[in-house]
Amino acid sequence: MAFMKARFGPSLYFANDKVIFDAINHAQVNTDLIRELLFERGIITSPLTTKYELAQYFSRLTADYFDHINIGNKLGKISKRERITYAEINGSVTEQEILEGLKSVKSALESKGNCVTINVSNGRIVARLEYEYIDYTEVEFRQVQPRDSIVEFLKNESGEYVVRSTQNSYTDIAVDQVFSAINSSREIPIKQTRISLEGYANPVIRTNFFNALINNIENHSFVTVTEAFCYKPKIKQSVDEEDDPRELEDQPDVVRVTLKGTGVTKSFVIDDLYEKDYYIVKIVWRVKPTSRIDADLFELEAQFGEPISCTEFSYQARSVLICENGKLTEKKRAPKSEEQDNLFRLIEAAAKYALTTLE
Amino acid sequence: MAETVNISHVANKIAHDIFKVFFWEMHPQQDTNFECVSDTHKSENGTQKRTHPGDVVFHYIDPYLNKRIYLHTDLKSYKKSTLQQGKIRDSLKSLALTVECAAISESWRQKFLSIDQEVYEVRGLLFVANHDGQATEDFAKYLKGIAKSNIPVAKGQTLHILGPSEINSLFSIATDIKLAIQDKTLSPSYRFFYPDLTLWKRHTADDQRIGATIEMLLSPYFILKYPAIVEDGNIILRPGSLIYYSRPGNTIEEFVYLLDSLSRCQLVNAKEQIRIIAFKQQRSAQIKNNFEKAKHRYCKMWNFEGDREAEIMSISIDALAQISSNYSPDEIGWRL
Repeated sequence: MAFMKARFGPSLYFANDKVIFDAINHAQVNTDLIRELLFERGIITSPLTTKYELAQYFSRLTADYFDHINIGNKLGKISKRERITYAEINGSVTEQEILEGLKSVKSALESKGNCVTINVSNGRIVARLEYEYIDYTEVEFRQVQPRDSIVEFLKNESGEYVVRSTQNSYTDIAVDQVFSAINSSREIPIKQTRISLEGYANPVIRTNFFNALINNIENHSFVTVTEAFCYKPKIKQSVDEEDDPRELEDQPDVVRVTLKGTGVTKSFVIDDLYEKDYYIVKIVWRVKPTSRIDADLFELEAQFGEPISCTEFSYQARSVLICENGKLTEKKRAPKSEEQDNLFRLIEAAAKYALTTLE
Repeated sequence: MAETVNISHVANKIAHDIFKVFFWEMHPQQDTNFECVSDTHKSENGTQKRTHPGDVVFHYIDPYLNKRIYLHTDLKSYKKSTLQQGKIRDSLKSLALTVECAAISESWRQKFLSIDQEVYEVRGLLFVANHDGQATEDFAKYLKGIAKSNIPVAKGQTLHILGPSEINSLFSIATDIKLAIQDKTLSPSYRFFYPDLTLWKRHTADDQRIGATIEMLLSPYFILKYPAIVEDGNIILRPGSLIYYSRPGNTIEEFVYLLDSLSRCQLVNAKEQIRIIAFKQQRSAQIKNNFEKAKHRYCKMWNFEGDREAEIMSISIDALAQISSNYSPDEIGWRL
C-alpha cells in the first residue's frame, strides 16, 4: 500500500545500523560501493573480505545524511518513466482561471511539504509537482522515494485547453483539485472528459478500440505489436456454486494473458482468446514515421489502468529503436522531449478517433 | 640510530599533541622493527625480507568489537616537491605486509603486546603529514587514484590512513578540547559516546573512559559526553554533549537528520546541554542559518511545542575557534 505524504517527522528518518546493514548487504549494492564508503573514512580492507563482513563493518560506523542519500541513491533510484494521461476540458476556460486554480493547489500541496513550480511559456501552463512517494512495504531505504510529476495545460488544434498529466494516484488527485479550484469561482463548472470504454461492455468492441488506436498514429505507419495484455474479468460465482466441492484446480479461470513477441495480434493464440471473450487492455506497438525511409522506430504503449471498467487510460513513448542503413539494430535510446510531445499528441488524437469508430 | 631517536621524538609529539586527548595509548617501545615470519614477503630486489619496519604502536579498546586494537603505525611526511603517488602506494603495500606478519609474529607480540591474554587485533596506520603545508589537498587526490585492490591486505585485516587534512582536523579538535577544559566549558572527565546499536552492543560501561576509535574520529561527526563542573557547590557547567561535526553545513536537511540522530540516541533533554562544533575549514557561510532553520523545521515536523521545542531550540552550533592551517610534527621524510 502506497501513501501520499501524511505522516509525522522528517522525510528521512535516522537509519540505524541494522537498516544500513540490510541496505548495503542488498543484492543490488555491489561490494565496491561498500569499499568506497569505507575508503572515504580512510579504511582499506582486504580484497578477500566478503560483502557480508564489509556490510557489518560499515553498519557499525556513524552514518549521516550524506551517507544515507548516497546509499539510498544506489539502492532506491526509481528510473522508471511514468505513463501519461490526458483529459479534454468540457467548457471554455481562460489561462488566468487555470493559473488561479494551479496556484491554490500549489499552496495546499506546499503546506504539506511538497514543492510545486508553475511555468508559463508558448501558451502552455506547466506545473511540476515534487513529492514523496511512500511505500512502507519496501525496505526502509526505499520507503521514501522522491518523485516528480507534471500537470500541463495546453491548447489542442481547435484552440481549446486540454490537460495532460503524469498518471498516478497522487497526480490524478492534484488534477481533480485544480478543477475544483477553477470551478469554485465559476458559475458553470468545467468538466474533464477522459478516454474510457466504460460504456462498451462488449469485448470485441474493446479490442477494436486498440486496433483503431495503433493503426491511426498520424504520419506514422504501424509496424508491429510486440506485447498484448488480454483480460477477461473473473467469472462471478452464483450462490449455488459457492458450495461447489470441486478443487480450484478443477475449475480453471484465467484472468490475464500476456503475449509477447512480434505480430502478436495476428497470432492464432490471440484469436483463441478473442473467441473466449478476452479483450485487450494494454498494448505495446511500434510505429515508423512516414516522412523518412530510414527513420528510427518508436515503441509506444497504451493501456487502461482499470481493466474491468476500461478506465484510467494512459500511454507513453517507451523507446526509440535505432535504424542504421535502413535496418533495425539492437540499439535503443530514450525519446527526446520534443519527440515525446509530438507522440503524446498523436496518441491522444488516435485514441479520440478510435472512440468514434466504435459507435 | 639518529633517525630512530628522531622518529621516537616525533611519535611522542604526535601522541602529546593529538592522540592523548582521544585516550589513545602509546607503546613505549622505541625500536619497532620486528622479524618477518612469512616466506612470501620479499624485498624490492626479490630477497627474503628479514624485518618489517614500524615507527610507533598506538592502542585502544574498541567497545563494539570488545577487543584491543593495535595500530602499527608508519609515520611519513612530505613537501610539495616530494609527494609521489608511487611512494604512497609502496608505503601501503609495505604496511599491508607488515600487518600480515605482525598478526602472527611472536617477535611482534613480545615487543608490543601490553596486556597478555586479552583479545586483540593488529591493524596498520599510515600517518602522512605535509611538512611544508604547500600541498595538503594533493595527498587525498593521489590516494584516491591508487587501485586499492592491488594493496595486498590479508584476509580479515585492515589499514587506516590519516592524511594531512585529517591530521589537521584532529589536531584542531584536540587543541579545542584542551582549551575548552582550560576555559571550563568542558569537564576534564569527558568521555567518548558509544550508543548501543541494534547489531552491535557496547561491551564497556557507559561511563568508562575508553579511547575514540579511529573510525569514530573519521566519522561525519562524533560525540563527547561530559559531567557537570561544580565549584564551591555552584554548577558552573551543566552536563551535556559536545558534537564535533565534519561536514560543511551547506544544507538544512543534513541538520534535520543530525537532530533526528541525536534524538534517537536519547541525548536531547532539558537537563543536558548540546553544543555542535563544526571543525572543517571549508564550511558554508550559511551553516548557522541552515542549522537554525533545521531546528524549526524539525520541531514543526514533529509538532513539538513548549518544553520539547525548547530542548531542540537550545542546541547550539559554532565553528571551531582556531583551526590549524597545517599541523606537522616535524620533517620526517619518506623513509621506506
